[in-house]
Amino acid sequence: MIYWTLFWVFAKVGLFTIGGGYAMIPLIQQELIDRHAWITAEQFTDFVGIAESTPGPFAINIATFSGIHVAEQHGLSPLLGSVCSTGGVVLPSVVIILLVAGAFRYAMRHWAIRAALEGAKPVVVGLIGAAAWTLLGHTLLPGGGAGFRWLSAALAVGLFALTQWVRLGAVALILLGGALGLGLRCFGVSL
Amino acid sequence: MRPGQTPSLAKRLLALTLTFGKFGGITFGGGYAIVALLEDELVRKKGWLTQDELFNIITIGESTPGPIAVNTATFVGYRLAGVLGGVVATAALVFPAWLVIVIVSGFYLQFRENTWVAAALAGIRVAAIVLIARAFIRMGQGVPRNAANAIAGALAFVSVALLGLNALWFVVGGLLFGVLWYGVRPRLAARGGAGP
Repeated sequence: MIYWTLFWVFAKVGLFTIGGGYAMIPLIQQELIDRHAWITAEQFTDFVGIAESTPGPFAINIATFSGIHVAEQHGLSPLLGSVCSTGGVVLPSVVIILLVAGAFRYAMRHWAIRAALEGAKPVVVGLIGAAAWTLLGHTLLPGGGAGFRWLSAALAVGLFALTQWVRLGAVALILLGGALGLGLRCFGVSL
Repeated sequence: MRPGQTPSLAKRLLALTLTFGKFGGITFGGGYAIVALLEDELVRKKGWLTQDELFNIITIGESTPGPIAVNTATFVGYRLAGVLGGVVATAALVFPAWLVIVIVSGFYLQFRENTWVAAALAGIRVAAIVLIARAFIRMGQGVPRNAANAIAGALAFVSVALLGLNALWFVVGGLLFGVLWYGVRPRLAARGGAGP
C-alpha cells in the first residue's frame, strides 16, 4: 500500500531528524533512493532545488514533492500521495510539541529547567547568526566559478540600512526584495 | 492576545490561521527565516509572545524532532489557543507550501529555469538574509551581557557557521551550560556564603 508506505517513510523522517529541514536530506535520500528506489539521485537534486525556490518550510516542500512523484509513478492520486507524505513528516512534530508544550508550564517551575533555558539563549543567538552567515555565503559566493556577487552584497547593505531608517515589517521586506529582483531583471541585470 | 484581553477562541484561531498562513506563503531560506518573522510579527508588532518565550520556543524547536518552522507553529498555536490552536497554526503553515508544490510539480523544470522566477528569488534571498541578521541583532540584545554568554554564543556561531558542525549539540551544550552556570553555581555560592 503505497499511501501507507509514503506516510510511514515520512513519519520516520519527521521523527528521526532533529534540527530542521536540511538535516532530513540524508535520511530522505536513504529511504527514497536506496531503500525504495522510488526516485533517482538526479531527481532528488531537482526536488531540493525546487524546495529551495518555493515558499514554505523546506521539509514540507520536499515531502509534498516526493509524495506527488511517487503516487504518480504508481498510477495513484498525486494529491492523496502528497497529503500522506506531508502529513507524515508533520505529525510526529505536532504530537511531540503538543506534549512538550502541555508540560512546559509545570516544567518551568523547576529551577534547573529555567536555568537550562537561560543557558540556551546565547547559543540560540549564535545559531541565528550562523544561519544568516551561511545564507550570506551561499548567496554572495555561490561557487561554480560565479565569483563574488557585488550587486547582491550592495543590495543587502542597502536593505539593511533601510530597515534602520524606516520601520519595515518582515513581510514588506520580503516583498520588497522580490520586487527589486524583478525590477533589476527588467533592466537586464541579474543579482 | 496577552492575558487580560483574551479574544474568543474563534477569533484566536482565525488570527493564527492568517498569521501562519502568511508565514507559510512567504518563508524562504530555512527554519531561521520563520524565527525572524516570529520575532518581527508576534513579538514586536502583535505582542503575542515575549522575547523570552520566543527564545524558549526556538530552543525546544531545535532540540525536538521535526522541522523548526513546524515546531514553532505548533508551540505558538498551543500557547494561544490550546491543542486545537497548535493543530490549526501548523495546518495553516503547511497549506501554502503544499499548495505551491502541487501547482508547480507539473512543470517544475520550466519553473526552475524561468529567469523571472530566479530574479525574484534572488531578491527575496537577500531580503531573507537582512531579516535574519536583524533578528540576530534584536535577539542578541535580549541576552544578558556577560563573558560566559559571549563565549557560549561565539562558540555556537563559529562551530556551526565556520566549521559546519551540527547545531543540535550546541543547543544541548547550552542547556547543560545553563544548568551549571545559572542553576548550580549560584546555589553553591549561596550555600557557601550561608555556611558556617
